[in-house]
Amino acid sequence: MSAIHAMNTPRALEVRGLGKSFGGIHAVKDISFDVHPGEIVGLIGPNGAGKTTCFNLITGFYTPSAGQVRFAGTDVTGRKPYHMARMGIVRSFQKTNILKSLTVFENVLTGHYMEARQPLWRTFFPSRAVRETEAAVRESAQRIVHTMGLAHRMDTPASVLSCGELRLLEVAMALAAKPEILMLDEPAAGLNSQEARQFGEILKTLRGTLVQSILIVEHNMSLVMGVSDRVVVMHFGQKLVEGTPAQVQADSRVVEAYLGGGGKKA
Amino acid sequence: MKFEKHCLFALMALAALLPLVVRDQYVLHIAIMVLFYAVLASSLNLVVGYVGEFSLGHTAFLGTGAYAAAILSTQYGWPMWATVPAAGLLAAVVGVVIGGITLRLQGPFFVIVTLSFAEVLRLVADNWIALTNGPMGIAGVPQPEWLAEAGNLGAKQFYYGIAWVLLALTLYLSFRFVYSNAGRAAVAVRENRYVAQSIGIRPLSYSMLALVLGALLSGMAGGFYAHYISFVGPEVFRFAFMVSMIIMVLIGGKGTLVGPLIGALLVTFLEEYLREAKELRLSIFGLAVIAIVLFLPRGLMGFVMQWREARKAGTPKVVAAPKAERRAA
Amino acid sequence: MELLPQYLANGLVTGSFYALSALGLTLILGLMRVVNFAHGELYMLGGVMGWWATTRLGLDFFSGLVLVAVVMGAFGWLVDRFLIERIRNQGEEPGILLTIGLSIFLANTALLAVGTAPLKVEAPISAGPLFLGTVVLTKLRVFAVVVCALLIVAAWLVIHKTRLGRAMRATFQDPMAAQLVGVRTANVYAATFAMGTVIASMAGMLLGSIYSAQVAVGGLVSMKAFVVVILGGMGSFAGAIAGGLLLGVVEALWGGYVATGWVDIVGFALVILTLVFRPYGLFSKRAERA
Repeated sequence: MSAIHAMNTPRALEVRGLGKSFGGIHAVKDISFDVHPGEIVGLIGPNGAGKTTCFNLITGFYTPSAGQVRFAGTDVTGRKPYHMARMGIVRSFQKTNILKSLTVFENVLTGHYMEARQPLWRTFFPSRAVRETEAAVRESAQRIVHTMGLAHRMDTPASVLSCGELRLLEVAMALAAKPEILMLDEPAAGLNSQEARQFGEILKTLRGTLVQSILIVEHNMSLVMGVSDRVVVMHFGQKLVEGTPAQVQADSRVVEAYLGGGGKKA
Repeated sequence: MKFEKHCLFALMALAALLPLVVRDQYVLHIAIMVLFYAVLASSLNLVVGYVGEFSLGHTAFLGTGAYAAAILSTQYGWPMWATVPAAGLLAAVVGVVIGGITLRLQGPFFVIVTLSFAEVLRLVADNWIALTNGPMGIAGVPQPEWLAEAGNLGAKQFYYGIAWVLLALTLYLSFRFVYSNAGRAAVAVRENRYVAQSIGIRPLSYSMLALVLGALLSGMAGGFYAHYISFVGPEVFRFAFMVSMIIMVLIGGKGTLVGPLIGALLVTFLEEYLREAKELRLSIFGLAVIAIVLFLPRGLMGFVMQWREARKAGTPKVVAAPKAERRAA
Repeated sequence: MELLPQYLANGLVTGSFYALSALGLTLILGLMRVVNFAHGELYMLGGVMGWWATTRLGLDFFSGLVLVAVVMGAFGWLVDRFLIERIRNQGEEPGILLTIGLSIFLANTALLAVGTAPLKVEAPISAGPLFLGTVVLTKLRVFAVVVCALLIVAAWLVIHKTRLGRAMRATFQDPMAAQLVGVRTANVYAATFAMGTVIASMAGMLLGSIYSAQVAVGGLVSMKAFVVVILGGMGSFAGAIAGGLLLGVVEALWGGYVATGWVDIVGFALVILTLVFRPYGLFSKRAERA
């Protein structure tokens, strides 16, 4: 399931007509877009546009009222989150996204759950193969922590990390699950401009190597525009516009959505 | 991990040596009770630490095991080496049923429903006279036949040995679980259900595993209890038993493997020392629980672990290159 | 079949007692999110104190009731201020453990003080029969039901019509905002806990005049109160009343038509069913979450 093996058969995430209503109120309506292998897609929109709802719908935390989600041609609409993870789609959450009482290393190690799974009885009577897997995931965890630049915090409890370090840990944990598609929900929240820029650089190195594609929800415009190959704009639960960063930034409807009408070009 | 492993080995080695040194039957009895309670406390610790909720219904498993062993041996003539595992298995089944219903519930609901289950079982034991002999209980649970020749001391030593084996099994299974992928998954579910799901963990599986394992172990302890005390009555489902278990886990430190052992040791001694003054003892227990919650929430072992971590964090750390690079070189 | 009205009447009487007993618990649970496992012991202390006030101090019933309310209210205030306050922001588990410890301490200390014998609270009305058509009830029970209703109404008025009540509701919707507008939240929490304690202990004294106060009753009272709270939904006034009446009636019918020994199981069975199918209470409109 690692990104290396899957490169032979590139897969795509297709979202078609996705919708969700809560008691008559449409949180999300008729959302369609694709994420191709090797892409970084940004999902932006003003607050309340329904971006996180979209994430929840795709990853199975909410059940869609309408629409379809397809991964590599297979219909995965409404499948439970752990199922989506096992298929290769892993997401992060806003804010509390890590295991606070564990250290950085332990967090990332836990993230390797799928790789280290064994039959139940092996938990109590481990074989040599199990021991080797354990050693392998420990090594992988160390490597990922280094990749994200958190090596100096390896054995620090996650509860004492700074905001920027927490964001990096969140990505590290998601990476440990060896996803094909990494879905990040506001991963740069609370980062200053320099941290955000470094974060963007890390994302670009991840794409195509440790993960196939990235779908990222963000408010930090310079980060999103600098990192994404394509951008999807949502407003009031619906898709407004889709295109390259340049196209989207120049689109007057987008400016209007953010500024509330009559905005000048940047 | 190493520290806990060494502590456990040391304690069990000491425990193994005890019967060689001690000949007094009363002391041996206390020691047997310590081992028995250690199994119970460890099994409760699994639930508390790895399901993350405080189950007040743990006596349900203990009682089920005790009654199972009593009924199987008195009414169907099963020998002890069969009844104890059967007791554990039956308790595990009860665990699956209870888990299926309660593990979807959070916090106080879980606590109340597990308590309700224990109460229901107590009422059943009290009222279903045909099966359980009601409040009179089941007396005369048989001992293995050859014990008759061993005399009282020999019998106690035998039971001590069984209890030691049970505890060793408990610690082995718990240790393996805790330091495995499954154990990490259970911790993840306990800490943050959503994150656990997003990395592929099915939360129910692991909460259930911890609960059923805890049930199995306390069921076997219950089976042992039935044969050792040779009497089983509805009091085995009583809340007072639960209280003792809670205090042991809290005092020792929940979430550690050594903690319940320390807790069992301390509480059993306290109970013996204050045996006569039951209300006074329980009153003190009540205060002890309040004091621990306020001042020593991680228990004694937790406090020790914290102190060790603080000491380790104080020493400067050299960042080592990842092992993969060193191997390639 | 001709016994049905009698069973129903019995059930409604017991049910209103259950409702009052559970009211203090649901207030503390719903408003403070504290699971008060010592609830039954507070009820018990009310009964024991009521006995002491009416038999040892020679007070009449209502003066005794006032005394119990004042003393237990102060006790509840202190418990919150000095114990619960310390663990308020640590989640649910410390509260559960703390109140369990408190309940163990209170029950056993009371046992040491007054022993296990039942203690009769002197009632202001005789236990003579009252005939309502084919149904027979004692005058004392009817009186108790009336007092229950009055206390419930009084509690409702305090919460909805007084400044303190407004402060309570504000604090529990948003403690930070309440503080910002000048509400002394520490006092509000203590007052709420005190109120729950007062209601529980008054119920204990009231029912102690019918059933006799007994130290060991705390556990059972707690369990029944939790059953009612779960049936009716946490923090819901109307739910406590409805849940209490429902439990009382179902128990009376079961005891009348099936068997009396297993009556207590009814409550637990209801709880388990409720939590499986409607976790937010039988009367809640909340949908189940995935």
